[in-house]
Amino acid sequence: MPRVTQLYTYHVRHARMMEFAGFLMPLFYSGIIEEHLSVRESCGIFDVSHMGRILIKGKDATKFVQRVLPTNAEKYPPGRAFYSLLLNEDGGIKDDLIAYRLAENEYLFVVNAVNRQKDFNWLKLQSTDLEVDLRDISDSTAMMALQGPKSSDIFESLLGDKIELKRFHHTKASWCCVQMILARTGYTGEDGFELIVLDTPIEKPDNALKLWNRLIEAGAKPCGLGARDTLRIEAGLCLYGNDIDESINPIEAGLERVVDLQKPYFIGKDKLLEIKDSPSKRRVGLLMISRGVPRQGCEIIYGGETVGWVTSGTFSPLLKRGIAMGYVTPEAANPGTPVTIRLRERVGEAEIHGFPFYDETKYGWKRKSA
Amino acid sequence: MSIKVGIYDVRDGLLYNREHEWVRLEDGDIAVIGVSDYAAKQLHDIVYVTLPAKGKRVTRMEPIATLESVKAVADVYSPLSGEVAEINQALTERPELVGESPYQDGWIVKLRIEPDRFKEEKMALMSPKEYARYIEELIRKA
Repeated sequence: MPRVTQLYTYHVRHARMMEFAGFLMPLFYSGIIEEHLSVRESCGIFDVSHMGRILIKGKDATKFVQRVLPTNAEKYPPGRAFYSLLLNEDGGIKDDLIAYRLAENEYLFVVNAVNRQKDFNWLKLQSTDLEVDLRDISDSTAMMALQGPKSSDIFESLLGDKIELKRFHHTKASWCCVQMILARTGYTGEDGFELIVLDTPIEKPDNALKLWNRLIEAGAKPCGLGARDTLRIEAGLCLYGNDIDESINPIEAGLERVVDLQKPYFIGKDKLLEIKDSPSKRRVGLLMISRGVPRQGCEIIYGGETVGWVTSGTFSPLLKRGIAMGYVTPEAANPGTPVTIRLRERVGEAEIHGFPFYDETKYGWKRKSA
Repeated sequence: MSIKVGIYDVRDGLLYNREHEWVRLEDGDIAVIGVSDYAAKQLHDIVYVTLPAKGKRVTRMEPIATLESVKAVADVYSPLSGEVAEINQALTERPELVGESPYQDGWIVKLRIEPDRFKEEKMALMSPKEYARYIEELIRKA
């Protein structure tokens, strides 16, 4: 039987449902394209309670985090959040996550739903010699993402107060006795917040439902996993299981920025030092020139030869064209390189494109106009 | 007039194929073909429609067009045999018509059919009532 989140009673009345990572989740409410555009132009809200939330606490918490993440956690004081990875000894990606430093020796990892158990067990294994306590708080908390240029206005209208929170910072907040961790993070490329609603187990979902309904009343459009996927592809963000997995390392995935090779030690470091200058493939964006939507598994052809494959593809509601990401050999990885993609019954023309796919002066959190 | 099955509309006066296409007879030997509201809603967010060339001959249950949505691609199977007499060119620019108006503006092709063959092939098609029961059953199993 698939599991459900605290907001299930809302979803089942308003959304087309789908199963994802063992959870019954909304695919869309009004339509993927409509929901997608509302996030780029205004504000959308997503239930992301299915994701894993692991609390790391204790005297050796920082030492532990420095061991399991390739990022230098010392650079992020309490109140900061950062994107990072869990690597295996071979430098392969076990998961990607956002780490929230809650206190000097307290962290929260938000991991992919599909890896919840795997990550927890593995982290536990790495912690046996340290004074650190790991707790999976996924089931006692709910989580939602408020995303889009109007997110801040909408959330401020609820709190009745200005929010002074920079990107990748977090703080504690409360609304009508609902306690939450409020973080300026997300998975859409837009400005926005992720809210972790505390003390809201599935048997007592009222706080989560109350907040969810209130944010919708205030103007946030409910969005499903369909729009979550199209938004993150447009932004060039990876989905674990599609674009990254244990057979891919951070150099190939273009995630070098989260890896600090100056750190004395982290799991996977030795292997990354060996391979860092000679990746056999690179993750790239692909923008369709001809009609058609590239899908996972489609071959990418350059100079008459197959140079890689698509790992995620969709139709971009913003660009009104097919877009994708995938892996190609380094000689075909430069932006602007013309390639062909083998679609279902024909081939389509495409070009290698950087991330994100949209114009950053007009869309995304860096946009110029408010 | 139409039958409602949950959120799905089954339009009266049409014949339905089990792959969710509908047929409406026009001027004796012309059959208009489209997909049902159920099919359009199942696929949702249709972004490309690939149409056949005029004059193409198809036999019953052969793919005649493709509908591509944000999430998936689906073939449209010809519910009848015949020759493509007309295609709905509007769908090239406005593929969303299939979802917005599946029984009217979202029609896909018109086939010139042979009356004798039609009499035979018609037996495999469903009445609106039969089709409504058919999708009710599909929803129950899902």
